[in-house]
Amino acid sequence: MDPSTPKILVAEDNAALSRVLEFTLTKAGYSVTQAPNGAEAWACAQLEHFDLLLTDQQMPVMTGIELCSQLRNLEEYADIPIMLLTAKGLELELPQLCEELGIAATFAKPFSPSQVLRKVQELLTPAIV
Amino acid sequence: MVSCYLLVSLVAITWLSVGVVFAVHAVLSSRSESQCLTLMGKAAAQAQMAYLRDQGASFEALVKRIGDDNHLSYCGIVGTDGAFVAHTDPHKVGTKAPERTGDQMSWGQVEAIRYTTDDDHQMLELRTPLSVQAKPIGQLLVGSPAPEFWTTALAAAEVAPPAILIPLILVCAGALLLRRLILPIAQVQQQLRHMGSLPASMPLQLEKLPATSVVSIGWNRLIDQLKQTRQDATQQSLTERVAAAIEGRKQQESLHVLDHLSEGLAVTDTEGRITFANRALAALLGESGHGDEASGCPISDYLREHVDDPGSLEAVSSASPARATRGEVTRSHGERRRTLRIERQPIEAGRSGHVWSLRDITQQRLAEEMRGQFIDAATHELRTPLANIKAYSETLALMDDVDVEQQKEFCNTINNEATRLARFVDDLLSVSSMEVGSLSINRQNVQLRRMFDEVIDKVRPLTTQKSQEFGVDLPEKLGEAYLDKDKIAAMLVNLLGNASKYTSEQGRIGLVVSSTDGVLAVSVEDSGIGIAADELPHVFEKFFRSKDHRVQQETGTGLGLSLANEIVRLHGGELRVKSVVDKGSTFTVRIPLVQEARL
Repeated sequence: MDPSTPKILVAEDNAALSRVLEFTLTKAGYSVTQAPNGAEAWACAQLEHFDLLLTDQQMPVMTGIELCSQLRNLEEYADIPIMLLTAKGLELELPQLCEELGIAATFAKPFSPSQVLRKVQELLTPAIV
Repeated sequence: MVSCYLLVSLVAITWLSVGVVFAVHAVLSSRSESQCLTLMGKAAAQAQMAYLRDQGASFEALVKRIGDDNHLSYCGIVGTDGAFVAHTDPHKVGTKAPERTGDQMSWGQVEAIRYTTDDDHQMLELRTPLSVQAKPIGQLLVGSPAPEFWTTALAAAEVAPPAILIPLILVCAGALLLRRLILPIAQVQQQLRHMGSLPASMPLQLEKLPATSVVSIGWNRLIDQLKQTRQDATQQSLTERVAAAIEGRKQQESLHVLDHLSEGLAVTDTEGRITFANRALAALLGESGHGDEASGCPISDYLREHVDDPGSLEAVSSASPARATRGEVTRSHGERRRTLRIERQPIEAGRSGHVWSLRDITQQRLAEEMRGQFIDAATHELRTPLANIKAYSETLALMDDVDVEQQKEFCNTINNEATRLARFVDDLLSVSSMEVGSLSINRQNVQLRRMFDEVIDKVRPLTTQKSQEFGVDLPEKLGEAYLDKDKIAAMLVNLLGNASKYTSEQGRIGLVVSSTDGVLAVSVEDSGIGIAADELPHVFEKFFRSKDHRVQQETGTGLGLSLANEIVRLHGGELRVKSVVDKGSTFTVRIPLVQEARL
């Protein structure tokens, strides 16, 4: 695989959803790594560098927000685009948290994979260029 | 009384009798004296006439006539020489007239002397000088028996019986009459005396008298009146006492009711001091007492002592007295933390103090929390399959170059998610039916073997996904059973699904089935995280989810076990759970196998 291919980390506990995201993003030419929870995603993020994080909010062991705030503390992840998927809809404090953690976009389930892809492409365009 | 009367009467009669005797005697005496005086005058004249006629030759005959006519003892004439010239006793003629000694009396010329004869008789001797032409010729001497007392008494004794007896009879009659008259009075007096001797506190014992007189009738009426009055008084006091007792009982009942309220209750005066507090108030604040201990103490101080967050009280107690206020405080008791709702209600706009109520809303809060968790979980449960369905269907629709294998995979996923969604909706419907008590089972003849195979097929992917060992122990022969296949299967899938969900990877899940003595026993074991002992009693409660973070990480509605329990119960069986934290749990279902009713 081309080393310049942007790498995306998908943290999602629902295997089926993770699978369909992986399928869509891979099809669009990205390199996708799947993690079933925040803790595993955290472990993956330390093994290699990712250009974008697509994470579910509600996950066992470590939630998406926890994962984000931990990653933001690392220098290499301080300003990568992060996209958040949420099953609960927008909680009151979420917009504020998104602001603080620099989350680029949130998608409420059920979401459209094509829209997610479009956002990913939009966020990673400079990198491709 | 009567005896006194009798005694006095007898004395009077005796005295009267004696008096009469004396009086008679005196009258008799005086009469004999006056008779004698008259006689002396007449006899002296006759003697002087006889002397003039015949010089005293007829003196003999004269004295005889005088003596006989006047019943005299004797009569004689003494000559100047002192010797009798004539005497009724002829032997005395010529003898000297004897000198007498005794009481001497004189009435003019007549002299009298009372003397006693030798044979003890009282005699009265009268002497008067005789003279003719101023020449004394002698003395007339007359002896008459003096009226003697004894004689008179004897004479009186003859008439005494009737004279004494008649008054005596009259006196006795009077005594009887008197007795009849005074008997009731005496009885009344006796009772009065008895009353007088009793201590004041003793009740009076009055007895009726035989109605023999007006007094006794009057007394009886008095007693009747008294009894009536007393009865009236007793009745009145009884009514009053009954009323008081009822009133007291009512009050006690009210207190009893207040004391047994689960809600804590306190009444305060205008100063905020407690005037009444029930048992529940003390209990809610962790006091073992009766509530009385708090009396008189300012309620704000009392509450502040017992709660964790006295600050929350300020809002309640510092509000205007006329306003009803409420607030919530927490109180920790050992490990447990309770939420209490405090309400203050003014009495007469706060002018007469306040009623404070204290309610433990811990359960309510817990229920609200559980419901909130359920809503979250339900939203998640609905959103996740929906999200998948949408994502896959959109991908299928939009992507052109999806190969057939992948299309098939995606369609399967969509199908699975749709099934999951349907199952959740079914669960929700079942729970809602369970809530209104209308959850019913639809029994049919079921091949048990086939049913278990289907269940295992549904669970297998889950255990495979987590690399868990799934041990199945099914007897060779299981036969048929008459039960609600869908619900029982769903219940078993739920139990096995839980076992897999709460058991780590490489863990062990076991299904053991036996059918003996008409009972289908299904055991679902796992080597999972287990359930804490204090949570075990609650696992079958609706919306209950363990506080264990390992459970919280998993999605779940808290409906599965309550539904499973209800389904088993509807089949007449029971669902039991045994569990040790970090070792695993065992759920055991026992359902009696019933035969289809033959019509």
